[in-house]
Amino acid sequence: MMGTHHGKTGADRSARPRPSAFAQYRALLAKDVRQELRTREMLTSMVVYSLLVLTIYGAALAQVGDKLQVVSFSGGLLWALIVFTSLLGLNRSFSHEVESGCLEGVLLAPVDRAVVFLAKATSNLLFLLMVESVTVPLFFVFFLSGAELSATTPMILLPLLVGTVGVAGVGTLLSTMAIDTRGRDVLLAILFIPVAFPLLYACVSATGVALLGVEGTFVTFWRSLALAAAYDVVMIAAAWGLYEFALDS
Amino acid sequence: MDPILSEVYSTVLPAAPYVLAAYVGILLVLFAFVFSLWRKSKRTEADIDALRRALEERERNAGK
Amino acid sequence: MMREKLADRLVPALLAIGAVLTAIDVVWAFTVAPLVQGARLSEPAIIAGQVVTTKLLFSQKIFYLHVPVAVASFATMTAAAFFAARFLITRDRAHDRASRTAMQVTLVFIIATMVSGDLWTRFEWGVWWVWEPRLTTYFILMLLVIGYFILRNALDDPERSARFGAVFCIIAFIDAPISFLITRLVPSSVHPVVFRTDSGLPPAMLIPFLLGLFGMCMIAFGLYRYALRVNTAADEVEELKERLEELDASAQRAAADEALERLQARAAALVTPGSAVPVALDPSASDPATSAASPVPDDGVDVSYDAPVSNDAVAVGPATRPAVAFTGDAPLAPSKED
Repeated sequence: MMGTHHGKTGADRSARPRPSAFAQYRALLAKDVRQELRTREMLTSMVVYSLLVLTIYGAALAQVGDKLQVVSFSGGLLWALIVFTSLLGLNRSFSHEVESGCLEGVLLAPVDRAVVFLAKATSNLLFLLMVESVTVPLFFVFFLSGAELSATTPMILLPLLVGTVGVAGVGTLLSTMAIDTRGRDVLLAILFIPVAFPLLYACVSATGVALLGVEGTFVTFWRSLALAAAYDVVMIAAAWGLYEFALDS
Repeated sequence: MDPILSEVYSTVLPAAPYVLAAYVGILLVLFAFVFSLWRKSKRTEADIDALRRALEERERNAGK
Repeated sequence: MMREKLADRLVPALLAIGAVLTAIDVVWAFTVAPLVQGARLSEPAIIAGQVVTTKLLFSQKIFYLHVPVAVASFATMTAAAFFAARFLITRDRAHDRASRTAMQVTLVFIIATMVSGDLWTRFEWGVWWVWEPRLTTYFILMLLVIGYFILRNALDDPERSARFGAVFCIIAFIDAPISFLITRLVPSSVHPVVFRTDSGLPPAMLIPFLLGLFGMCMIAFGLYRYALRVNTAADEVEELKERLEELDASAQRAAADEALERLQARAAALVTPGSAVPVALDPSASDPATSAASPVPDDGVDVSYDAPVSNDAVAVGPATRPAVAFTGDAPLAPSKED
């Protein structure tokens, strides 16, 4: 079994000198995931950072007695948490590549730049989703445990997903440009926050509607979601097309 | 003055300083830009002259 | 080239016409254009034979200059994105300069719009800032343009600065309309804002507005050309500086090479005293130790241009080649491009 399998890949390699774009994509993605699972550098720092932000929220909201009030603006708080945590993660994801000289190696290989972008954006998306799966429940535990949650609360998963896709897509392009600059941590924030503003606006609106769950406001939910999705499509297409210019060849 | 008439024009006088300030503000910003460009161009011209002279001198020296 | 010259010659004329048009707009706005009707009066009044039921709004006068400036800022930003795209396609530095200059003009017009708009907000709404759709999106636009310049300043290599700047310029240009669309379509629960100006403009208001619009666009274009000329000159200064430094560096290198050759010739003469020409080396009798201690003089430029160098070179000439062959060790690769 092992032998035949091995033989088959060997034959494949000789028959096909250059792997397909999808194979390249999968290899790059697997490399990122393996590296992260081994070092857990990005995931740990992001989770710890989001815990710290939650602590600050705790101090900020200590004087708010009414839980209903917290529900009405928790959509915005949740997204602020996600944006700041993503900024940290996006910075880490590329500094690691540069420090280890890994990016240079990838760029030396005859790989299409668009494939590099897609692989990097996907791995960033995966890590962001992993971190969110920890921090969002924690947010509910810390701030909304006593509040009466509306039945539509699970619908926040939709804006979370759409928003994270956009953050990963645009963030990958911008963090690639920001890696080799002076003061790159601040620079990424300066570039990323205004560019991501429309996405943030739409996602906060949709999340807020889902959390409050008032009858008749769901037109806004779907419209916000559609706009966020449109942003994703336009921005990821632009980032995809422009990515080769953001890399040093 | 007629009270109704003064009500009709009640927003005109208080608004005047703001409107005036807005117009002046726009012009000020534009003039500030032109001024900074003008200063930059003066500096650049002086630099270009000095550099040209220095360059010619070096080239003459190098050619000798 | 010809077209550029023509455009440059047109700049003062354009600026003058733009200024005149804008001046007519301003004068017209404050004299002929009627005041816009505002809030309802407690009871109708009759002024000059006409029934008046509302207060008159003076603050709307800002419209005649504020809106043309804002439109000009959008126009210049479009030009910046256009040149950025052309730069990415052609990699021509001139397009990058055009894009950067257009962004500068955009920033100036954005600031002018913000200043005037904010004064209006302060009077009409009684606050300095509201997170109202138009203000918010314009604020985001300003942040994008400022971010563009911060990005460019953070990069030392001019080529990368140009490339990344162009990428970000295009992203910002795509982002601005999306941001506008989203804040319009998704209601913000903060402030329901009612604009108090009506939209259907009578000719007495439309004409000055259009004059101002054309005037501002001409001024924007004139400023852009002027700034472009200044930036071109500034880039030229940078280039000249670079060439000068290169020239100095190569002169220094050449001096170092010559010194090295001289030393090697001397060494060869010492090793094979019979074959070399010892006559020419009379000055070396006193100083071989000192020059051997520092083979490459630090201040090579000053040394190299003087006469002794050529004398030495002539005298030592025949001995150099055997020296190289003997040591089997190439001298510092001499670059004689000057």
